[in-house]
Amino acid sequence: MELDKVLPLFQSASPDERARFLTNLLELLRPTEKYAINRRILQNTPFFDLFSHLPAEIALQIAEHLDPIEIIHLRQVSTRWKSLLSSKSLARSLIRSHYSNRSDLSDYQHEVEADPFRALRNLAFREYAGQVGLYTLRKKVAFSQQFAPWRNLKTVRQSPTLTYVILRGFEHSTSNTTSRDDTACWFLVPLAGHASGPALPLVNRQREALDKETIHAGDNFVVAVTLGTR
Amino acid sequence: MAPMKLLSSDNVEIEVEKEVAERSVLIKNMLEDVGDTTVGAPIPIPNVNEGVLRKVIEWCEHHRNDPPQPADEDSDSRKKSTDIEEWDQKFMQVDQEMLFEIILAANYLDIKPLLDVGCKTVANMIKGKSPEEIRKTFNIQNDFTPEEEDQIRRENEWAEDR
Repeated sequence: MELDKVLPLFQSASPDERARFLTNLLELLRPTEKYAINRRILQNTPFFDLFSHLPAEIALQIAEHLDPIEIIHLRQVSTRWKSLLSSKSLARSLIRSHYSNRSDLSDYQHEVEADPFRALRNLAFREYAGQVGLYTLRKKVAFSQQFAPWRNLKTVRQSPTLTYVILRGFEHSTSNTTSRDDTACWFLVPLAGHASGPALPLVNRQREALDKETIHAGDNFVVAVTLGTR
Repeated sequence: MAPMKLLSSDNVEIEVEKEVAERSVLIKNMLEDVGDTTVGAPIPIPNVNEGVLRKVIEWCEHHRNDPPQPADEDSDSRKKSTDIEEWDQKFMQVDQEMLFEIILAANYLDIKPLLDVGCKTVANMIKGKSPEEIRKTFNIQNDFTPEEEDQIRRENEWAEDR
C-alpha cells in the first residue's frame, strides 16, 4: 500500500516536521477516526479510567439505576462524577422518586429548596440508618487537640452494651470553645434497641468516658453516623 | 432468513441475518432508507471493532424474538430495578474494557435493551461500595484537591441543624 511509505518517512523526520505533519493529518481525519484515535490513546494511558470517559448521557443512565445513598457515594469519587451528578433537578427528582411518601418530608421542604443535595443526604442517611440500624463510616481522626476533633464529629460508636449517637446541636463560630459551649452542642441519642427518649445533652463526664473507652489518637475507628431514631 | 453483511471498524465482514441485525435501530433505519441490501455491499459500522460487534450480534441473536420494549419510557419499575436475566448476566461477564465497549456500541447502534443491561451491570458494580471502593473497582483517580476533599468530608457528615 502506497500509504505505508509514509511511515519510514515520518520516523526519520525532524521533530518540527513531525509536528507539522501531525497537525495537517489531524485536519484530514474524519470525526469517527478522531474518536477512534482518542479512545486508543486513552486506553494506552496507565490510569485509563473507562468509567469516567463514558458519554454524559450514558453515565446518567447508569445513575438512574442507583439509590440516593449510592449517588451520594458516586459524587465523592471524582470531580467528573461530582459535576455529572450535581444538578439540583437530579437531587429533587431523587427525593421525589424515593422519598415522596415519607411523612416527615415537609420538615425538609426548606432544605429541598435551598440545597437539595443536602436534603437528599439527610434523607438518605435517615433511611439507610433505619434499614441497617447504623450507618458506618471509617474515619481517621487525629485527636491531637482536646476539643477540636469533636466539632467535626457528630457521631458515634457502637459498643456491646450501648449504641448511641452523638449529634451536634449547632455550629460553633469560635475556635476557643468554652466547656459550657462544648457541652451544649453535643447530644447523646440512644439508638434502636434502647429506650428512645429525648436527646440528652452530653455532659463532659460522658464525653470523657467515651474518649477513654474507644478513641485513641490517630486511630482508625468506626464511626456510625446518625440515625433516625430521634 | 435473509443474510446480510456488516463491516466492522477494523474492516472485517460479518454475516448476519437481517432480522438479527435489525435489533439495532440504527441498522434498521439504514436498511429502510437504502431499500433491500441483502445482496448489496456490507453496511459499515465505523465505531465498533470486530470483537465487540460479534459480541453484540451474539446478544441480538439470543434476543431476536424478544417482544418490543414498552414505549412508556418512564415506567419506574424498569429504571429502578437492577435485576438482570440469567443469560444476560452471563453474557456480561467480560472484562471491564469489553463491558464499556458493549455499552458504547449499544448506544451507537441504538439497541436500547442491551444498553439497559449494560448500564444495570455497571450500576450493580457500584452498589454497596464506598467512594474509595468505587475508585478501586473502576481505576478512577481521586482528583479532588485537599480543600475539596475537606469540604466533601464536612458535607457528608450528618448535619441536620434543626
